[in-house]
Amino acid sequence: MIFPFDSLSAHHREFGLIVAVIIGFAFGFVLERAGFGRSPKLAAQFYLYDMTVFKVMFGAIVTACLGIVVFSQLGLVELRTLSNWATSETFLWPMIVGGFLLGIGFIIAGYCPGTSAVAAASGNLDGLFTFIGVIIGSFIYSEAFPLFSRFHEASNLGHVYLYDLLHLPAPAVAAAVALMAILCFLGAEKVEQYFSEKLKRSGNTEFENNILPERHSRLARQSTFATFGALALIACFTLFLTIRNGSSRSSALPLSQADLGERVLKEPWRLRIIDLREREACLETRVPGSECVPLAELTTLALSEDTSGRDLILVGGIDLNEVPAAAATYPGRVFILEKGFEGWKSFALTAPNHPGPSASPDEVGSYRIRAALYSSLTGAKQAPPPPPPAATGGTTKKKGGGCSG
Amino acid sequence: MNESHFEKPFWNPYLAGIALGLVLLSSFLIMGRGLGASGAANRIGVAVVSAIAPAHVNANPVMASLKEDGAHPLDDWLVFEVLGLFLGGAVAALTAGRMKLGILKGPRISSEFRLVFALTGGILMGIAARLARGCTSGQALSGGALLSLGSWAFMFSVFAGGYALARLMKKEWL
Amino acid sequence: MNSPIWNWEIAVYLFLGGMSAGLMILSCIRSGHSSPERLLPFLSVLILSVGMAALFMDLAFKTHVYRFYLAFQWKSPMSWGSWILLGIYPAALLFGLTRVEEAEIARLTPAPLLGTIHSARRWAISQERVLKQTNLFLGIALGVYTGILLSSLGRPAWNSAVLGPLFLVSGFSAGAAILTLFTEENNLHRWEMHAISAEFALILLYIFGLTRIGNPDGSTPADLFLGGRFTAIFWVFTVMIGLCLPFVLGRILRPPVGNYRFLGASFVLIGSFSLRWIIVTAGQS
Repeated sequence: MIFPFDSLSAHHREFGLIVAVIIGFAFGFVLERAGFGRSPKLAAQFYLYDMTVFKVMFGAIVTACLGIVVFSQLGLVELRTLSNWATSETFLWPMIVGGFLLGIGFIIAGYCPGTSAVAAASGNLDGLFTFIGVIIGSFIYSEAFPLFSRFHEASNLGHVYLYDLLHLPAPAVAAAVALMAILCFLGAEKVEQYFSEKLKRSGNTEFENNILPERHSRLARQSTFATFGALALIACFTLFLTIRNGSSRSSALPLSQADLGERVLKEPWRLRIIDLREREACLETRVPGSECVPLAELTTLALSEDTSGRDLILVGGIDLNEVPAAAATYPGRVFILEKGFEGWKSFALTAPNHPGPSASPDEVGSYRIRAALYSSLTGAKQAPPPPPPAATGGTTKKKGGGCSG
Repeated sequence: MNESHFEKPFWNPYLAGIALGLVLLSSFLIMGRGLGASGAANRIGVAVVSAIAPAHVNANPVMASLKEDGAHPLDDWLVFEVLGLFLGGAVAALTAGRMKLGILKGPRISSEFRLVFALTGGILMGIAARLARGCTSGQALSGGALLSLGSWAFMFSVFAGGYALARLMKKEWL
Repeated sequence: MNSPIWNWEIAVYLFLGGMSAGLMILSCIRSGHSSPERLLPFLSVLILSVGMAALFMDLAFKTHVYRFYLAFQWKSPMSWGSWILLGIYPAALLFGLTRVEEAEIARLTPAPLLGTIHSARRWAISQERVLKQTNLFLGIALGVYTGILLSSLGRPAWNSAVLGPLFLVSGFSAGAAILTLFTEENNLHRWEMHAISAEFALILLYIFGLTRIGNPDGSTPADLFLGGRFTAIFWVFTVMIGLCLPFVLGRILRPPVGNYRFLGASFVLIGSFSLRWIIVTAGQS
């Protein structure tokens, strides 16, 4: 994976922050130029005589979606990894209720949080008040969190994407979204025309002069549709390419014993571990939480349909040389345990040596994990407890998507 | 200063959509994350409260989690992104001749009521954005482009909420 | 990491001191005919006093201030600085008197002082040339002093001869920014653009200079601004907001129109303050 540049959020974080300002600048610039700094224009969306909000937003979604899908088909990004990183998990009911509430707030305030910032920046006091309101609202939520906390965590479906739901490849869904967008845009033009005619007839002269959108050229619209259509075709075309090449898309990553040990302790619910050794050997002793499925029976699991988003970890007797065909179609990330089960035995099932008083924090940390593994797997005397997991289930994820948090 | 003589028209919405999509796409490609706004507002709130009453923030686990390990709540990618958002909005408005101190509203409502509504709507959206893990930028736009199920559910519900109340709010806008 | 000894008060002092220096220089190089410009000498004294108040808040032993004046040390910029500060008050106030009308003085001054001030004004007008040169000299000295003050303290990130001119130029552009709020004149705008370009060059020079200094562990103080924890705020606030945006906007929107003056000036002031605040904080980390 070439993109994204991981280092910008890790050891070059400071440069990432500079990039943040540049990206935010472009974001704000485009929003203002689209007219999103003016509440009457935004509110007009809900009175149907100016559908700018819909057009800009849907157009942006389609552009970015087709772009990212094409990039991922070209092998430049890993779609699912990126998506899991950049979006929050789906909490279906909180999101539906939150969306409804946000829509109500939107029509009352005339802005959404992002556009209120743009409005404030261009001197509109109503925008400033809205932004201050958003700050206050977030604070109220934090204060009252105990009241909401159960609903906040309700109906967590994990990372689910439309292509999982529809059991279709992502490019096909993206292309379908693009086509749907074009149809919706055509419809929006008609709706816009109808309602602004109606408004004109109602005799409110204020509108003709101030609020009604200028008629834009057809050329821009048609070329936009053509671009979307072309990109959708490209996306579908790349799909045929990858199908012909067979399942080349899942290339397995190596996973060290220490990483597996840590993840088994801290977040077993994010792992699907499959032990490929002979069933007897596996039943005797195995990595905690793993399924015993000998290599020959792997196809019976239908791994390509597992949409739980967990990481698949394959454990062989010793190092596996390649990913079995049945596992290569797994939708999530696939890891191969380094040195296989033999490595695990010497790592987790032999007592670790105490690192001594002068050890670095890293060494102490890895000792703790090994000691905890060793004691929990062999029943030996309880070693010092491992550091507790960062927080409760849902919040351990690195803060992803835009506004989360 | 009269500068209305050079106010530029808004961009064509389709081209603006493509431009916004390209900004979002480059954010995905360069940083591996989407755009956002309400998360930064949350952090600004925590920073303000933490400056006034640090003990209060530390006592609330939800807010305290934003300043773990002594990090400043404002030392965050989204906060810098929203700083850029303000700058970009200001520069765009200025260069289009639209930078003007004022209150935007429908013809039938007073400025005071407009500001009260703006604040109220903002508070509602602040609560809603926390519940939904994002606002129109972070959840609908960024998550929608990545085809996340929750984001699409959120997006439809935003429009549903808006249209549901639109009739009632007609006096504010029309 | 040492906890900082110098906090925001010092940054405010250096910022307002620099701005005051900029206003003094401007008061000498500009004709002083328009009404806000006539008052520049008084404005610079006022701003300097606010800055000194911030400095005073930071002093641990507030009653020991007089000691600066009892023991003059040739090699200490602090000693020099306190005498420069002391000289500015009479020089700027007398220079300011040359630019106000007799009637205006009569309206604003209580009766007992009137005679003294009138004679002071007559003397000042007779010495206007000398006063102007003194003010110019003191303004430049004050601006440079705000930078040299730091470089004399032996912290790696402050170990740069560029700090003096850098703070002088930055103070000048802060002063010009204040003035643009009140007047609209292309000439001033040109000065501002030149100051911004010079400041940018000096910042690059400053950071380049820091890369030549090695800490014992092989790092250089420049790392603070090139990947270290001051990188983002420095390049965003000082360089992008304080220099690039005003420069680009100033080039696009020629002649500078209405709201640009306010926004451009705020950008310059933000940049100018953040420069001091970041360098003061970074030097102590």
